[in-house]
Amino acid sequence: MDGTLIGICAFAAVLGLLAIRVPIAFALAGVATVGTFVIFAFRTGAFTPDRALKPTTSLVFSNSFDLIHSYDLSMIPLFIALGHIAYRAEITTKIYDAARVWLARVPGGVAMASVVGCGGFSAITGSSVACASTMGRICCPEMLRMGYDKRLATASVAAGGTLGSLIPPSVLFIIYGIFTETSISTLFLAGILPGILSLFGFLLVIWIWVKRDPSSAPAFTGRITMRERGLAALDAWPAVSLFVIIVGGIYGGFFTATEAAAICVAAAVAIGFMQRKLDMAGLIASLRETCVQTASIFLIAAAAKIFVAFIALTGVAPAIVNTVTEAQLSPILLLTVIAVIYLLLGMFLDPIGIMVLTLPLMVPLVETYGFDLIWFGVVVIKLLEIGLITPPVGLNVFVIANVVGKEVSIDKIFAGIMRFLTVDVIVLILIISFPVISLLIPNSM
Amino acid sequence: MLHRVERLLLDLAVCAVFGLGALITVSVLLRVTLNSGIPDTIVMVRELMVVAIVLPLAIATTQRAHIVVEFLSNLLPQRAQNWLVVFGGIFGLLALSPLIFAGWREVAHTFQSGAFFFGQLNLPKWPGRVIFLVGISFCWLRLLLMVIGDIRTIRADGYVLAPETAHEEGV
Repeated sequence: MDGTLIGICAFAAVLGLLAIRVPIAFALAGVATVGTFVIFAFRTGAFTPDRALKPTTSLVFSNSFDLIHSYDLSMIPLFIALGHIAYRAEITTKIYDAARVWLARVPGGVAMASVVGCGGFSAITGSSVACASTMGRICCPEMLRMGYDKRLATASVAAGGTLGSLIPPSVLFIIYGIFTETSISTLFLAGILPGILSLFGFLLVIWIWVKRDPSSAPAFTGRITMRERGLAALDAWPAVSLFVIIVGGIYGGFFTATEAAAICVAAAVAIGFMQRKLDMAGLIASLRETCVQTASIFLIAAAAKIFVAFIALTGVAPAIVNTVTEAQLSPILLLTVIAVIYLLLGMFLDPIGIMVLTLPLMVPLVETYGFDLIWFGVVVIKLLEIGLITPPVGLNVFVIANVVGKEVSIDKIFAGIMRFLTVDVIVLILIISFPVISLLIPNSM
Repeated sequence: MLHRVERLLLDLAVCAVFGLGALITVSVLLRVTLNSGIPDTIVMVRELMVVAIVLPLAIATTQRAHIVVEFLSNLLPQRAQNWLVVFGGIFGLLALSPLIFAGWREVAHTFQSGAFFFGQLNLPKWPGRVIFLVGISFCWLRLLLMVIGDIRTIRADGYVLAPETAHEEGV
């Protein structure tokens, strides 16, 4: 049997299973196991299932177990734990509190503070949906109560939430690093400038929005003293310290990303206990949430690892590379096609699912064209970020819709999102056109 | 009974996350202060990772925390959606079975060979393999019970998923 045909059928089967609500991990593992068995069974030409059993079970076990049995990947549970612990210790929300005080007099200040708060939250947790969910609960009701335009109040947080994917630490970067065998530390550093660029882009959208329609954000009439500003800034020190430990530690070469994760968890626990915001019950609850969340992420990653090994057996990736090379697509056209594929998939699938499905095919392709995998990683993550707020299934938009309930309809949130999407596309074009934006910090190490 | 076991497995996973975090932190601190370290830290962290990841799988299954794509299925009637949940569970049982079989073979092989990790402590390889098998097996068992329970619920005209639930998850 033709391996390429089996590979293409496998992709179609996975997409079909995902469409009918089969969990991503089960769809990938099931199809990969059957596909591997078929390939080994037909290796001699005739169907010999007894010869396929041993190599299939070996491939299934070694790929899934080796992924879990990893020192480097211990950063995933640790960074997820950091997010939960920092949230319970009220570290993550202090950035928002400080930004709200400092930006109070700026038009649309609370919306801007929400985006800055999302940036700060992302700098600790690394999860877009968690960021949108947590910040949405804090910022949206406050903005709605203050009389902000409903579209602005909700869309700013939904868009701000996507910063969690780019600003380190990012779970998506870690998964990208696993499947492309690139340095996760370098990916983290590469995400900083594009993340900051996106953040400033969102602030600009809010500023222009409120300038053109001042009624969309009521002006702040109160008074804030310098002392209050100073105290608010001082309160944000734990969050800033944790970010400095992560980025400074990795950039300065003091420790690896995995070590940075462990040190930050220890620091967050210490800060939480010292400030009496965290107790033993809170710590255990945080770690329980961490374990459940990590288990479901790793189940997908392990299944995807089996799927990647199966795809390598089929030879479908080289076949696609050959087809594209023979078609003599220009690099720009190839990137455009890739971007369109990711944007389309992003409308329907969740980011992890998209990555594990596409990377086995995309990586050999972009390597053939000589693209830098670190830069390509930033492009992919930015595309996935855009998918999180693109209709009809912008995951972050649904998260915010759940938070605000019936007060704001999904259509209204999507209507507000369009302005942020425009900026996202501009930032994406900048990242693609000027790879230095992504590579400046990693190359300066 | 199974709930208690799942809770125990989750708490063991919590201890593992705590342990691996502590191990890495202490190693870094020892390296920085005394230019020393804990022997075989990497091997111990890797073994703890198996505990942290695999043991909570059963409770993640109970909480229906496995990530699914709901966009198309949400367009279907509620009853059809419920049957799709059951199908997803049955497919999961089939997908996990080869892993259990492969895990069993690996455990047997590791015990027979007495394999160990090369290092200062020469730690045995079997604990991680056994934990992997235990974790996946409990996940399979929980999935089986959920599939049976879901089928009963649907046949009694109940809902497996509460109407208007949208719990797609992502990171």
